[in-house]
Amino acid sequence: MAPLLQLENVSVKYGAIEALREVSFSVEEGSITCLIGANGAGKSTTVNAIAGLVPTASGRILFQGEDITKLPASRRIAMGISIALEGRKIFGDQTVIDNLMLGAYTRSKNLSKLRREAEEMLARFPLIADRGQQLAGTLSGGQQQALAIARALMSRPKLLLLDEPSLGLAPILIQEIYQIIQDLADQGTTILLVEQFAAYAFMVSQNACVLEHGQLTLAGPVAEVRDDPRLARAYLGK
Amino acid sequence: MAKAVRRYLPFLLVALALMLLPWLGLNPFYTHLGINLGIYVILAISMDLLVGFSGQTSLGHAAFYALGAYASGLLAVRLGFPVWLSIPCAAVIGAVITGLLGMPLMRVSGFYLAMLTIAFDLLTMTLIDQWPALTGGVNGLYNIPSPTMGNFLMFGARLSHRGYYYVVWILAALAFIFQRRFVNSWVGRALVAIEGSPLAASAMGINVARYRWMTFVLSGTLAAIAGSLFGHNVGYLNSEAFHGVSNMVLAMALVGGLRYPAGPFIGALIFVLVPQWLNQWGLGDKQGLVYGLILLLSLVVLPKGLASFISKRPQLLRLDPADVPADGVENLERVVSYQHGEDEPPVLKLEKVSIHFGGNVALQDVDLEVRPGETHALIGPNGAGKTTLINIISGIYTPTSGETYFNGERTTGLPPHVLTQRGMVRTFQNLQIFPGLTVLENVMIGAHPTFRHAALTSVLPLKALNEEEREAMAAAREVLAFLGLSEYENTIATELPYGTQKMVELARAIVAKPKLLLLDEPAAGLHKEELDRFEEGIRKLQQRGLTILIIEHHLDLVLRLADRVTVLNYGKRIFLGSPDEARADEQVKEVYIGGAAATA
Amino acid sequence: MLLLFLILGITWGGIYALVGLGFNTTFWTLRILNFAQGEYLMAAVLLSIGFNRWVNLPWPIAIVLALAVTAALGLVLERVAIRPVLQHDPRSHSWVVTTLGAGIVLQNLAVLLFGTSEYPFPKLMEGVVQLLDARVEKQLLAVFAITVVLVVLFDIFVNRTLMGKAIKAVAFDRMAAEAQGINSRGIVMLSMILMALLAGIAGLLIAPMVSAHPYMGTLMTVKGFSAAVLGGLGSPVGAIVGGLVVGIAEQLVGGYINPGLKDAIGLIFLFVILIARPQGLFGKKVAERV
Repeated sequence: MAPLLQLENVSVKYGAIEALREVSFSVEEGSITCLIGANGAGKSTTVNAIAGLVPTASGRILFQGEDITKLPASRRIAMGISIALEGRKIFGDQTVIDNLMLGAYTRSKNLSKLRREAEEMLARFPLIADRGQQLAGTLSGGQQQALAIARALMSRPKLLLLDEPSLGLAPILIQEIYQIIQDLADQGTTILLVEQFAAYAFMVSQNACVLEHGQLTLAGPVAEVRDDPRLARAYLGK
Repeated sequence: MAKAVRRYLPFLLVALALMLLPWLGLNPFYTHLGINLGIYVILAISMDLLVGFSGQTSLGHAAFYALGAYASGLLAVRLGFPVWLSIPCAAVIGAVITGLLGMPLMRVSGFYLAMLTIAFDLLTMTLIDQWPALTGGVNGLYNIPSPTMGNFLMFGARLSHRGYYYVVWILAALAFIFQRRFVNSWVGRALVAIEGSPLAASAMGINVARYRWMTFVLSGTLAAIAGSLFGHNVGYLNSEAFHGVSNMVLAMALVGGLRYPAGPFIGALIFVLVPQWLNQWGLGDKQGLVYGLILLLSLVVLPKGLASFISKRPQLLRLDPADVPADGVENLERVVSYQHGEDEPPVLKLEKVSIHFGGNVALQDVDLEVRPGETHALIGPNGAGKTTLINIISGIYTPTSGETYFNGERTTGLPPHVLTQRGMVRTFQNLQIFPGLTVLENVMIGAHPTFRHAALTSVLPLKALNEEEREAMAAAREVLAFLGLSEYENTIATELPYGTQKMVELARAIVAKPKLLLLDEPAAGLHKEELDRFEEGIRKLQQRGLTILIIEHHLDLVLRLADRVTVLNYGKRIFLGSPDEARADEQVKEVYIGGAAATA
Repeated sequence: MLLLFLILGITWGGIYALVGLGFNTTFWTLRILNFAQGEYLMAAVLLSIGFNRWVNLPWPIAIVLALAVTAALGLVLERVAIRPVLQHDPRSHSWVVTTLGAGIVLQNLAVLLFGTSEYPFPKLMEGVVQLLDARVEKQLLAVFAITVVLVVLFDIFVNRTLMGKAIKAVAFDRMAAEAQGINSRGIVMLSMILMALLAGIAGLLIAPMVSAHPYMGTLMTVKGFSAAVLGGLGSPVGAIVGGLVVGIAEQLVGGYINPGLKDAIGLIFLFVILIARPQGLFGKKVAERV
């Protein structure tokens, strides 16, 4: 069976900067794959390109065997790709429920139906379960991250892209967020996880890809990547 | 000599033609057109100064024009001022009023100014109509001394239109020389820098608010002078005469071509001729429509204006780089050379600095000390608060609590341009190269703090100014040579590859002769060779005794370059020590890979 | 007299608020202001008159058709005056000049089609009512009622529909909105239509009170802007409060001090607020990202 997601020689440019150079890897259905590497290595660029938020300069992106390279973000979301962005990017001037309803924008415009679904979604996230009417900007960092993940799930994705869910969170909160990710994995959600803290990512992932200066330098099952000496070098240099 | 002739010849020829025009035996009508042309040229120069150089848009220049016209007219009619006095008085009144109106510019810019000027225009016209006791109201103001009325006396001599033509053109020539000298200097470069990036300009030591305000006042004053000339030309004023003038002035500047010396002349010529043509074609009533279409389309269709077809890109340099040799490249002594004594205070010191955003504590009780001559690295994972800290150090944010000291003096809460003038110079994480300028011009903007004269003196032929300019240019060329960038001196900086632009930014920072150089992720986005070139440049600067604080994600690079390392995590300092100690430290490792917390 | 001035002030303030809300919608989605907004107000009025006089359409149909054309003109403005300059340089403020130019074109086209004479516009209601010591035109009350309904509808649209929430989302963070599948281009178009409609309706409401001519919009651009800035650009509540403050202050100054000074109030508020509190009464101070 073809993998759920497949990248073939994908390159991305921001003006004069080549952020991603000929990156190829794939994500199997039902698995968690992590994308790790130092800051600025191109991890976020990769998932943003998959979600259709940044254009690819060359290469192909296949989802369920279908070429989605040229499709707009809204089509990709409708097909089943969802992303929780780096830095959480919740809509701070709207309530938690509103944020969740916007996550289902491509599925429905019916507010009462969406509100019901949003409340059901909230119930799955103890961190924010009783915060429905609060302005999202007033949530703590961990709560905002939980909201970002919940919002991404509102579109009922087949593939969930999680970009730096631990960013700026205290260790205790990172544990909680990773519990959520583990639960999602146990329910069979396919996840591509971007993480700069490799050790966290390894706890939940089956496969790992390492990016360095916009290039894929290492990929394979977590057990192999973890012990590869090239991993430490990717972070701390020689 | 030959070069000077080539440079000034076109202007001399134009000046000669203008001088001869009234004597060519043409229909006197051409003298009238010539007078209008001169007045329009002053208006266009005034608008070009504002829009072209400081990037601010006035949609109400008619108000300043009318102010000048009425001020001079009223002084002459009601108080019997002679015109040689009433016209300068009108200029002063124009300056005072635009000075007051421009006060909000200290706080805001851009479209606010545009709307404020529209409102002021409407208000001025209403006042003219509603205050007949002063202005004559809708009936107008009569008997202004003018050649048309035959009562225009200049120092006792009665001037005809032909004589008035020379009065107008002498003032137009002075306005032209004033504007060109003003902008072909560190002032013009500062204005263009503000237009390109106010934030970076402020980091170059430029007082953004004051420069904006000053330009606005100068522009308004020039418009007022043009207005007084207009009033004395026609001899009769009412508000009707200023209808549509605001739009015309803006259109003139845009069509002629912003920043080009020839721009105001071309723009003015077209707008003297357009009404004639429209009348010839029986389209006299379509004038407003034409102005509107020009404003709507010219920025899209012809963004550089007509002057771009006949002249080269206008330079912002007073001297020819070829005349300013870049000597002393080997030792860079002119720019960077520091001897540090034992008992010097720390260059930078932060004491228990905290900052809150809303309810979030971004930094908590951070201490930091940068010693003279050292390279200090500030590292930590994303979101640790590094950029926030550098923004506090450079004065963009004021800490919620705690103190900052620079060279032993307390600097908490001082704005960026003051810190830069005292010797703290930074580069930016997101490239802040000034668009549309050459590499040399960009780097010379970095030398802004080395110019010590008041901005308005730039128009004077002072020897000391040329010396400053020569010194800054020599320093800029020297630094460019030092970093291996000489070949790009005359290239538009934003057209260079990213890595080269980063190096230009470094050069621009060094040329300010920093006591402390702040580098905010200088290596982000650089590829291998560029990284090597960058590292080599920094090493040379270290050898010259430059003090550096560097934030960088390429840990291998910073740990090689730094003497000491501070590690931030969650807004707190968790480590201070040598690079070797940092590499061995378990806590630092954990911060980067998330080891202990995850495996625990 | 005071009561009458207050009623007049509130009614006119509501009109300024509508124009101010129009400024807000495009400021949210594009970070631009339409300097031709007053001309959109004028266009809706004169188009209605044109459709009624020359095509002999009954007023209601003429008005609906005129609003549709005005909305379409909003889309044209985005395509011709805004998109090209933002594409060339997203940071540039060239749109100030291009939208102003568009306004001048509209105004001059109106002069070509309608001349500079004033046209009567039908009132919704004739007659006056006695309110305490004031005789108030029914038209004024009708305008006030419609303004209230419009402001409420605007609030419902922005806060109680998913589309409205999507507009706020695009305003807050365009990329995050796109990550939810929101088509930000479409939202931008929608904001241009809303801007044009708010201005157009404001024009139709005041047309019977001021009589219609090609220059009726110019002052409205400035006063609507004053309202929006006074309240805080981007804040709908701010636009309404700002509009009311400007409207009432205008009537009081015009009534008790000097009618000639009436139109200066907006400028004075604009000037003072820009010096004292540029973010406006309800605006948040935004730190520039470095």
